[in-house]
Amino acid sequence: MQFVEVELDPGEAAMGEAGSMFYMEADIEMETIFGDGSAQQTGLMGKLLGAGKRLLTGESLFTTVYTSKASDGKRKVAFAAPYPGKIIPIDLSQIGGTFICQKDAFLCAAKGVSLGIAFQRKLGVGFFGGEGFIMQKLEGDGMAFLHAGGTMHRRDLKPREVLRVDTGCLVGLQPSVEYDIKMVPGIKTALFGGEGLFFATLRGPGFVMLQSLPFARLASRIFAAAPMSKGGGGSGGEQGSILGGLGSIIGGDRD
Amino acid sequence: MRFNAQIYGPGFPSVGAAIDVEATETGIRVQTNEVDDGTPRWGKITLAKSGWDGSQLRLEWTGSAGVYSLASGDALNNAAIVKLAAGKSTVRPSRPDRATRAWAHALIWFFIGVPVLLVGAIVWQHDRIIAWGVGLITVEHEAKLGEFLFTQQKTGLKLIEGDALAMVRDIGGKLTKDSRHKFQFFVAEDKTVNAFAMPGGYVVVHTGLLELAETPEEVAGVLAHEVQHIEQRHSLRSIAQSLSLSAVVSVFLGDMRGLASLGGDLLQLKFSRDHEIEADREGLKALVAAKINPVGMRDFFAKMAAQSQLNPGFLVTHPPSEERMNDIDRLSKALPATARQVTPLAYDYAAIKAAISRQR
Ligand SMILES: [Zn+2]
Repeated sequence: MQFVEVELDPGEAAMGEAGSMFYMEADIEMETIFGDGSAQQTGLMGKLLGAGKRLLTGESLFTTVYTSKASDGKRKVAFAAPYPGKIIPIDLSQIGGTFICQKDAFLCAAKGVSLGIAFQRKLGVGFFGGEGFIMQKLEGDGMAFLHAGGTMHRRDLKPREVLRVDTGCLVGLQPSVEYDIKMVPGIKTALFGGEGLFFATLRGPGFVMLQSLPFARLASRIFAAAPMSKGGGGSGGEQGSILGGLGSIIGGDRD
Repeated sequence: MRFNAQIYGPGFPSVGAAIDVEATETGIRVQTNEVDDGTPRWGKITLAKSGWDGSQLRLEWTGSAGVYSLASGDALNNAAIVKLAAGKSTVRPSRPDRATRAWAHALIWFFIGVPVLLVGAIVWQHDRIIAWGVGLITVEHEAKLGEFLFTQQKTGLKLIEGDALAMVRDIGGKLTKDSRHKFQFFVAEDKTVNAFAMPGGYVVVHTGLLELAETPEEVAGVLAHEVQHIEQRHSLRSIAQSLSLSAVVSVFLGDMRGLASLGGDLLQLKFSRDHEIEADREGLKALVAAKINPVGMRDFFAKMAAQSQLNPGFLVTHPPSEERMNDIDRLSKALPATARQVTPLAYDYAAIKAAISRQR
């Protein structure tokens, strides 16, 4: 498990999702601001717009800004991910200033990075993309940190290079990457495939971040395995049996 | 024109690099390692809408060193570029293949269309759907449903016996001689002026109603009306209606409270104006057929309407209306003279009322 420790010079600030703060040193002032905390949000209307956008992405309406009020040196504030996974830094100045990520992948950023939303405009994608209907747009020239479940994998797609991924496994992508939802071909798959009926087709150029274990997938496996307190029998996959065993230990029932 | 874009391709970082682009009538000009690759004409460039949300314009061309790609995110610039390239560049439509699209549309219409259609049908053709659903219920099923509902309701009722009950049963029997339902009549100790009918043939009269009535014919009028609510399956329909409405509400709010609370409200089920008029008309016919003076019905309902402030009970569950009153009045007057030449019901009604007030 990882966490992010940010060193703040006097007067410097960082921002994080409300609730992701892990620890912070003295002299750091927390200010919860209404909206997304980007620099250009001046005036009530701008703030309301920012807040409205955040409401749409399902994030909390408030972003917390951590500002160092110290006069004598660096102070630290740390942010931790809400579930097991990996954290990766993205330097927006190195990738053209914009990155689009799943709305719950954002962990923290330097102040000046603005959080907006990007809407999927294609009806089919919006409908079947699930998680990917509304994504978060990170703009600016600072560092942003993303977290994801399992292992984070980065792919740099060359022009015309195509990669197909499970829709839930996509963490984020450069704006130049073309995104589309395709259905797994064949009527049999459609009828019996269940999960993973749709996948995202990504076409380069640009880089994409992938996660090996989306939280929803982990949660659904745990959920599916949890009620089976009578040992691991008949649970199917190996996760099933491990968690089935766990379930029965918790249940105190080992017959 | 000049615009900023992110360039990808031979000699550029894999995450692209910001670059200044010049676009003219003939093509574009950018700084590339292979000098000749940086000045493609429009005819060599493929344009496509790109990006996660379709907000990017992609310009792609093949040079000597490989494939180059430009991504521009500024909407105004993109419009100008498209204008310059119009008719010269290939435009690649970015859309899913046909099969996927067909499936996607079919599924979208299925998921959006089916619930919308269902709700639309339920709202629009509510009465017909209810009538159709009610029509599927056999008399035997209705009897079972009625028995179940009545057993539930019975705990809240103080049923009494005696001459009053004997009279109600007697009159009720005359009114339901040829019925396919097995009617059961009850008298409940309750001073509100009310009577109600439940599916399957359960009719309950409150003592308050018996006390307000002045002749057995008036009681018969009410009974005839109630019996018709069952014969015409109004009770069943009202239940189906409130069930279906709460079912729809429950489905949409994901909340079962609507369904759960229904049981308690059965006695408060309202009949529609049409149902009331139908019960009146059919009730009048039944009275005539049973050789009971039908004027009692009109008398009693007129008395009820006059006293509506004092005795709201019956009027709440059986909404009165001017139309209805006029209707009863007109029909009663239009009855052939023979219909009125009936022997009065031979009950000592004064004694029955006295017994009721003594019992209290
Ligand atoms: Zn009625």
